[in-house]
Amino acid sequence: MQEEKNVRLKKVIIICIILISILAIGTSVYAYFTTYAEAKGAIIFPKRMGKSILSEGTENLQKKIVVKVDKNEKGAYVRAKIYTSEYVTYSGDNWEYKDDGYYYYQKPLNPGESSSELLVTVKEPNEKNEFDVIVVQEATPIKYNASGEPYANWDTKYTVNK
Amino acid sequence: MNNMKKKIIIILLILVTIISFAVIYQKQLISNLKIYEAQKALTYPKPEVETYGGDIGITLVENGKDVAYRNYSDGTWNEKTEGILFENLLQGGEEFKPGKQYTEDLKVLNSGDGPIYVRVTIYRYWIYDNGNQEIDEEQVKDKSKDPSLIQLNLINDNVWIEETRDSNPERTILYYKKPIEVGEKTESFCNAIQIKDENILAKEIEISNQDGHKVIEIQEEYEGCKAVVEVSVEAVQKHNAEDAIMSAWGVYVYIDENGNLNLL
Repeated sequence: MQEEKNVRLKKVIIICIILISILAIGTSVYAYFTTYAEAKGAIIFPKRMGKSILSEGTENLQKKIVVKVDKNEKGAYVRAKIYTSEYVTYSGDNWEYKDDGYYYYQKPLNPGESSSELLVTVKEPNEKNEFDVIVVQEATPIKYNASGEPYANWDTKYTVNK
Repeated sequence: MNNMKKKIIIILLILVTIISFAVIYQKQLISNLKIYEAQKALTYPKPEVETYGGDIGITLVENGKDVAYRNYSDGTWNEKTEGILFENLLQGGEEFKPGKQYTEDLKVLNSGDGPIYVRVTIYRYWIYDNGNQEIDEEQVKDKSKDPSLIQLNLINDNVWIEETRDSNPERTILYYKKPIEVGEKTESFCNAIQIKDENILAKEIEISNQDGHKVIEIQEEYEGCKAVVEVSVEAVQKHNAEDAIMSAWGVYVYIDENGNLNLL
């Protein structure tokens, strides 16, 4: 009698194990295999504004204009505009006059570099050999196109973002 | 005595039935909850770690180099899940040039032991940190800066489908149309990065007199800011992919007879 009871109990236990196993297999259908990976990087927008220094010198009837970029600053493109009531002529390597009245230095100046001289020569001096020449000099950052070639964008108009 | 045995059997069967229902109910509840959360937020939370034990794997490849991966093998995860991008962007002390297009080839490798479908999420944003190259997790986004200036040149749009509904200037989500077999790479989803520099305003304009000259100095508003790019790649098993993608990513897709994934 006791033996028969044990057999039945075993049967019940086996049935329970089978049922639980079926459930375990069945519920695993809900699990999906997934995975992921991530990567992150940062690029710093650099300081680009070079600080240009204008030096002017006068010798006889000539004004010599040289623009230098501070060695501790960034490179820049530079240009200059001359205001005078005298009859003058201009000369200088790599300086190009454009219709907007500016002389553009064609090469970008790296930190510490100077432009060549822009010579302003007074052709018809007055009796005292005196003349007024005012120079406005400007710089703009060296920009790059998609290929990495440098260029100047003199149309950039900076306003303060408030 | 017989009655006693019957009672024991009945009690056991009831217990088994209760346990069975409890297990099924819990599984369905979790599954539904995942779907609900994924649909609800549309924020595409970082994927949960679902260690179900499949030999699945994924690797993000940048310019031919494995930068991040997570592969399941022999019961453990072999992983480098927080890779670093742009480590070799600049050569020999070169300074980054806004406007220039730099090579940035990105693709995905199936580094597991089963075929997968993948999606990629790209985040772009700015952080102000005065030129510190490291990314500090505590740094916050500068939402005043334009993420669209950070331009990744996305390519191969015949196989990389953009989920335009949930994409925006800061986030782009791409699904790879085809299943990726073991050891295979996807076609590139990006081939270049460029920081656009048009229409950048000044942060400060300072006017002073130096040596008899009037001097105007300008500081650009993005100077010292960090353009951050995050790329997250996710994989789901190819088998039963429609349900798997719905469960894992909260997205309805249709897999056609050629195995191509289509967004619904």
